[in-house]
This record gives sequence, structure tokens and C-alpha cells, in this order.
Amino acid sequence: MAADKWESAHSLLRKASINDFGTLCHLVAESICRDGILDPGKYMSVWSLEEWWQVQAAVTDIMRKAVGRGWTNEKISEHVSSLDEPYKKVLLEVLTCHKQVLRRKLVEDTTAVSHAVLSDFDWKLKLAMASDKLASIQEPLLQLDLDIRDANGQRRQVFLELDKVELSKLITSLESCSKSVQQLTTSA
Amino acid sequence: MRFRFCGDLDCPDWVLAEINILSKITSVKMKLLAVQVLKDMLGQGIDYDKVQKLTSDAKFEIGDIKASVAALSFILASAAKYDVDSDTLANELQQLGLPKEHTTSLCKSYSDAQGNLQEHFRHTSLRVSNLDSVQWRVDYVLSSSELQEVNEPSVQLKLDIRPGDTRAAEPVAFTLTADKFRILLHELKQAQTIMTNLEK
Amino acid sequence: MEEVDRIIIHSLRSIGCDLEDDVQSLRQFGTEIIIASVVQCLKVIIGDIDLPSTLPPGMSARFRLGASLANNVQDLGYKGGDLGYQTFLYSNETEIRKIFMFLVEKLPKESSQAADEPMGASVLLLRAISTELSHQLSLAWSPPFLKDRGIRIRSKAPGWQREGACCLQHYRSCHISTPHSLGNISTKIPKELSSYYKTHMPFVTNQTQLHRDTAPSIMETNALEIATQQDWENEWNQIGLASRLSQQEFKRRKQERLLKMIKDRLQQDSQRQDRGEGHAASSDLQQILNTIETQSKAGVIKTKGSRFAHTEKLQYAKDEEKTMSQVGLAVPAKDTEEELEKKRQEEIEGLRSELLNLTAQLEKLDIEVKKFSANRQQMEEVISTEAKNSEEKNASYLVKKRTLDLLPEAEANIGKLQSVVDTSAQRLLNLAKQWETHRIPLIEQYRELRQLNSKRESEAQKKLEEIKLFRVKMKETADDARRKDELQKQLVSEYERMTKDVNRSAYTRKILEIVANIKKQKQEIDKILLDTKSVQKEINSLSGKLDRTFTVTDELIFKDAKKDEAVKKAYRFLAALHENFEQLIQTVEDTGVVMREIKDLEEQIEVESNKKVLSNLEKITEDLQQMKKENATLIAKVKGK
Repeated sequence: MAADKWESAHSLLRKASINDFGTLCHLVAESICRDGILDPGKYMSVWSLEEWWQVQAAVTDIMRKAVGRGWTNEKISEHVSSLDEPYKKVLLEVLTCHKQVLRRKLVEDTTAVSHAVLSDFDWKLKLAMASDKLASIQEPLLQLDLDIRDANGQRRQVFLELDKVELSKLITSLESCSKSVQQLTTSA
Repeated sequence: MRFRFCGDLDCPDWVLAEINILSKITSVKMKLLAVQVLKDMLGQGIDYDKVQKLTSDAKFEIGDIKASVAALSFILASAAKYDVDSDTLANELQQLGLPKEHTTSLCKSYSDAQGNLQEHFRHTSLRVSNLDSVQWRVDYVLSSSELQEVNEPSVQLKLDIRPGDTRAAEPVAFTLTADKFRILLHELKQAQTIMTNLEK
Repeated sequence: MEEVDRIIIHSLRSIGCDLEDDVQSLRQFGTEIIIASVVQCLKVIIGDIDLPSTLPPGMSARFRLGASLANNVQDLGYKGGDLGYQTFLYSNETEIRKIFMFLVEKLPKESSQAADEPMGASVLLLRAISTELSHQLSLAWSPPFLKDRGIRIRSKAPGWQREGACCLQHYRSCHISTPHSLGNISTKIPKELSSYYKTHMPFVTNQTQLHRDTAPSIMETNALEIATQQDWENEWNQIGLASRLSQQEFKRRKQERLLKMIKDRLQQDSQRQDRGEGHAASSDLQQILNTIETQSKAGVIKTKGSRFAHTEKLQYAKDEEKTMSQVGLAVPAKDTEEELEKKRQEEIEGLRSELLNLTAQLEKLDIEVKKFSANRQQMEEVISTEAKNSEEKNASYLVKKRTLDLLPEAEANIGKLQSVVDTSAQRLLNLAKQWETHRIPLIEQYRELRQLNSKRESEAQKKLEEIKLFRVKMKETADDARRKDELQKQLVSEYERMTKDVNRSAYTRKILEIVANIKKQKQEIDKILLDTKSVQKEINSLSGKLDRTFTVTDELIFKDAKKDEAVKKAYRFLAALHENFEQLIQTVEDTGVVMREIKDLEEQIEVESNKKVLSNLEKITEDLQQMKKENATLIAKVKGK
């Protein structure tokens, strides 16, 4: 199936110059890492929109597979055997450049196979000065905003306000967690 | 006139009027009444039968009882709010026309309860949310549909967050990559240092 | 006056007037200094005031500056006599002193008050908050469209403040890639990577989809690197150092250990698992296990894969094949006919039972295979023992055969054998001797080496300890340095406040001294007053006595004068005498008055001479000339146009 896609795309790829192909590969790799959308404008002179999609899908697919399955260079070139030799070389070079970053992205995607993922967080420290109950409180509070992404891609904000005791409780709890994370981390 | 227990503002007229009513009951009775009001403010509930009994001597009507309870609540709450010591409060209440015996007995019970009252107010001040408990789990991911050999830890975190106005905690659970987790912990520690520096 | 001058000069210095160190009194103040100090005072008191602190060159500008200074001082409420430009430009000491006393009094006192309290960080913070709040409250409201993204520019310290929450945004970050190890020449960057850095890699500002995410992304990437580094350092310090491995080695070891641990656990679990269900699942698991195994084999130190894992893998693979083929059979049956559900069910049942049978059979076979293999092993053992037996028997047979061969010529052969035995014994002895000679130095060498080795070991241990110690120390020193830096900062800020405190105590001391002086002076004045009073009294009593004696004498002589002519003469003399003396007294009194007047006049002369009238007059005439000249040039200019 994937091979078919590649077969049909590879004839299209030949239309691009070798330099353009290199740039394209880099762009695709970067767009995978950032979930970005590529601007086809630059390549509209080479391919039609439909062809562009086809090419993009094919390159994305090969990159994801190559990194995801941990293919060696031989295996990759075997997979794209119908491609011309210089193009193949460019593709391999691009893949070696982006291997680390792509792997990182795929690890993130793996973590995202979950009901909810923490995508971002933000905090600020506030000093509560007074309230309706007390004219002078002066209690430091930490506001922690958690940006959580659901399984269906919906973002949800959780606002959390911590006083000193709660914060230290959270930190001690996370510290012990951190220890076991560190034990299991191998690629420091 | 400005009064410290009113936050350096003039005393409201209705309180002035109720002070007159308060001076009708004996100072001992008023002290007991003040104890009941303090109990109410500390969230332990007020015993209305007792209040009725206390005020029966002075032939208070139901409206008078309500008014005196309200006045006492106002005086005690705002004195605690503006952190007025009992001597100053006594002074100012006498200026407002409360008899001396009444003031001393009222201020006695106020100075006894001041710490508790302020602590209670501090706790019940507005908070957006509270953190009840934290639970975590570390998973070691071997493989996935995305990546054949992952071999990375991932963290599951569950926070029981209690919104300020309700009693029930609602759990928030999510997954983090090890990297994200590191950043989170790092940032939280930084926040903690700033917080401790603040209280020096 | 000296005290007053000193206080004034001190406070002028404390508000930042540039005075020479040897200036001790106001007399030394020139016009330049006076103008500069007055302007400085006004700046401190009023806040923002637009006056040049140096004397302008033009005469008319000077005049205007003097006039505006006079106006400002009068606006502050100065009431000491008439104040004009001349006070500053053509100064005299007393007036200037009065003005400076007034100005110094008007100087704001907040700073000295603030220095009284002990300064804590929280107090400072609270004060900063309150000043900030009061400042913001004093600002006028400005509509949102005048503020760019809710930011309001202002002149005070931070330069801007945020108003309203309309333009806040979420903190979103994404991964940012930057070139690595570019600064480090020793590590070689692969060619394709460097060409990527050169030609294709976008700038960090272009790496995010929305530009506003750039800052969060960079911050997050940075924080991640720091946190990872810290964690790793901790781990390395705690465990890594003790293992005496290089960092890479340690990481690899850890990975291997981890993989092995997980593999073992999973194997234990899968053994425990019931085989009747979830073949597919366990085979998946098995696959993963196998990949782990291959991974760990790929490492430099190969761990031996257990045989059990291999056999199990084979078994499962077979199982899976079977189940797969069966499922493959079942699928077409389902597709072909819909109505024959029952039949299909039955078929499925049948297949299922068949499957169960097959699995049962398989298990049986499995057990049998195991049995067989066990049997085989036993058999192999038996065979090997038998082989050994036969070898032994062969050897004994050979010996026996030879002895049998030798039997016929027993005597000679025994002799031969004896000689052979003897020579062998001799050789053995020789060899033993030789061995002994070789052995001793070797043993010694061995011992030496062992000692050396142990010494080295202990040294390494020691060094390791030292390294640990140094690391701890390093951290401590760094912490210490940081703490001290902070302390220093705080102290510096406190010190800046402190200087004013000194000023204050000096003030009070001086005031106390002055008060004491005044008391002393008052006492002296009182004494003199008392003296004068007593003298006055004496004078009074004396003059009364004189009067009385005169009247008595007058009466006595007057009585006798009617009778005696000589007495009459005496009476006349007496009258003359009295008159003369009265005149004398009058003159003395007059002299006193004149003396006092002279003193007054002398004082006045001194005051006037203090006013530097002459020099001032000269200056004024000079300035007048200059002004006239300026006017003339101006007129000429006007006319020239």
C-alpha cells in the first residue's frame, strides 16, 4: 500500500530539481515536528495541488516510517528503490539530520495516545494583599494554568491556585516521581 | 469622625442606632450574646433559643434581637478585619456611646477570639481553587503504533482540585512526557524559591 | 553661626550639591555656588522644576534666573524681608543664611524617616507595592484604543505598565531546534548536518506558527535543557561517580540493565499467564521481548539470550500460524451466506473444539518433546560415561599388553626399566631445581605487582572520595558566592539609606549642643541683668540717701542761715555744690548713653560692611555696563535688520 503511494509519487518527484527536493524534504520534516501546514505556493510551478498533496503525503509517510520503525539506510533505500540515486542520497541525508527531532516528536505522539495530555503550562506568583474578610492578608499564591489536550484534540484550561503548603506538597510528591523517572531515563 | 475599626471611615448610622439598643441589656447578657455571635462567625452556628432567652429581660422585640445581633456581628467582624486591638476598640465604642461596662465585656470576648477570628477569615478568603491531593504513576513505554522502540518513561498525573466555592474535589488527570515533567518540576521549584524569598 | 553653617552645608551635600571639601561656612559661598545649591534645594522640594543649575553667561538670563528663584522661594512661603534677584546675584551672608535655613527646613523628611525602620525584603516589597499602587491610582484613565496591546508608556522607572487583560495570551510552546555543538571545535559535525544548518534551517523566529509563541518556545527549550542537565548531574554525582565508568559507559550500562530488568519481568509474567487465552496478545508481547533482546544483543557486551525464550518463541509462532490459518478459513464462510447462521455457528463451534483439541494435542506433544529431550540428555550422558569407560579399559589393556610382551626377557628388561626410571627420576629432580630457581623471582614479582595494584586501588578510591568532596565543595562555594552576592546587594541598598541616618544623629547632637550653649548664654545674661539691677538699686539708694541728707542739711543750714551770715554763705555754697554734683551725675549718665550709641553704631557699621556693599556696587556697575553693552548690540542687530 505504502509502496504504491511511493511508486506513484516518485514519478512526480522527478519533476523537481535536486535542490528543490532537498528543501522540500527539510520542510516536510520540520512540518512533522511542529504539526505545521506547508505552504504549497512555492511548488505550484512544479506540481498541481493534487500532485503536491500526493508528494507531501508520500514524503511524510516515508519519514514517519523510517524513524518509527528504526530502519537502517539500506532498508530505506530498498523501500524507495524506484527513486533515482542522487534523490535517494538527499533523502537519506535529510533523515539523518532530523532523526533526533523526529524521534522526539514521535515520543510525544506516543504520549498523546491517552485520554488527556498536558500540552503547556504557565504560572505566576501573586501576593494576595487584602480580601473582603481581612484587610491585610499578604499571602503568596501560585497560580498554575494547565493547558490540557483531550483525546479529541480539544484544549481545556485548568486553573490551579496553590498556597505555600499546597505547593510544597505538590513538589515533594513530584520529587519522588522525578526520582523514578530519572531511573528509567536512559538517553540523558 | 473616623474610626479605626470601621477602616478609618465614619461609623454607619444603623450601627449607631443599634448601639443604643445594645446598651439596654446588661453587660453580662451582652457578653453572652457576643459569645453566641462569635460562634456564628466562626462557623459553629448560633443558638437562637439562647439568644431569645438572653434578651427576654430587656423586653426585646424580634426586630431588636435581629438588629443587635447584626450590630455585634458588624463590630466584631470589621474590628478583626482591620486588625484593631481591643483597647482601641473599647475606646472607639465608648466614643460611640456604648456604656463602659458593656465595652469592657465586649472587648474582653473580642480579644479572646481575635486570633481565631482572623485565622478563620484568612481561611475563608476567596480562593480560586485548592489542591486536595496528588497522585502519580510512572509508565515505561516500550512500543507504540507511532514508534516501534520507544523505551521512554511517561508520567501520569492526577490532581484533585477543589474549586473555591464548592466542597467537592474534581479530579484532573493527564499524561506528560518525561521532558515536560522535568520542566514542570523545575519551574515549580523556581516558584517555590521566589515564594520563600518573599516571606523572609 | 558656625554650627548653623555646618548643618546647612551638611544637608546641602546630602541632597547632592557639589561643594568643595574645605567649604566650612556660608561666607565662602560665591554666587555660582549659591545659585546651584538653591536650584538643587528647589528641585528636591518641588520635584520637577525647570531651572538651569549653572549660572548662564548672559546678564539678562542671569537676571531672569535670579528673579525666578526669588519667586519660587517666595511661593514656598518665605517671609524674611524683600526677596529679589539681587538677593542671589549680589548676596550678603546673613540673608543667604536665612534663605538656606528656610530651604533646609522645607526639605522633605521622608528619607530620614524611612531609615529608622529595619529593612526587610518583605517590607521593601510592600513599600514598593504601595508606591506603585498610589502612582497608578493618581494616573488619569485612558481609553483602551490609546494603548498598544494594553501597555501604557510612562516616564517613571519601569517605563511601562499593563492595563486591562484584553491582550493577554496563552502560553503555548513548541519544540525549537537550534544548531548543536557549533562552538565546540573538537566535536566534528557531520557534513549533511552542517549543510542543513547553513542552508535550510529556519531562524528561531520563523520556527513557530504564530510569532507570539516564539518567546515561550525558546524559554521552554532552555528550561528543558537546564532541567535535564541538572537531573543528569545529580544522578551522576550520586551514582555515576562511584561506578568509576566514563559517562557514556555509564549510560550504556544503565540502558542495558534497564532493558534486562524489564525483559525479565515480562518473561515472568508471561510464564505465569494462562495459555488458554490471549495467544495473540502474548505473542505480541513476545515480539516486543524479542526486539528488546536483539537490542540488548546489539550492545557491545552481549547478554546471553536464554534458551527458554527461543523455544517459547518458536512455540508461539507455530500457534499463531495455526490460529491465523483457522481464522482465514472462517472468514470466507461468513462472507458467502448470510442465512446459514446456525450452520456457521456450528462450524465455528466445531472449529473451536477442533482448535481446543489441537491445542491440547499440541500441549501433549510439547510435553512429550520435553520428555524426549530429557531422555536424550540422559542417553547422551550414559553414552559419554560408556565412552569414558571404554577408553580407560583400552588404556589398561595397552599397558597390560606391553608388560606381557616384556615378560620373556624379564631380567634384562627390568634392568632397562630400572635405568629408565632412574634417569627419569634424575630428570625430575633437575627440573624441580630449575623450577625452583625460576619460581622464586616470579613469586616475588607477583607479590610486588599485587601490592602495587592494591595501592593503586586504594589511591583511586581516595581520589574518588576527593572528587566527591570537591564536587560538594564546589557546589557549596557556588551557593555561598551567590548568597554573599545577594547579601552584598541588600547591604549596599541598606547602606545607601544609612548615610542619611548618620546625618540625622549629627543633627540631634548639634541641636543638643546648641541648646546647651543657649542655656549657658541665658544664664550669663541673667547674671548680667542681676548685676545691672543691683547696681541700679545701689544707685537708687545712694541718690535717695543723697537727697535725704541734702534736704536735712538744707533745712538745718536754712534754719541757721536767718541768724548767721556765715551760715547763709555756707548755705549758698551748699546749693552750688549740690547743683554742681547734679550736673556731674548728669554728665556721667550722658556719657553712658553716648557710649551705648557708639557701640550700636559700630555694630551697624559692621553689619553694613558685611553686606559687601562696595564690592556689590562694583559688581552691579560692571553688570550694568555689560547689560548696556548687550542692549546696544541687540539694538544694533535690530537696526541692522
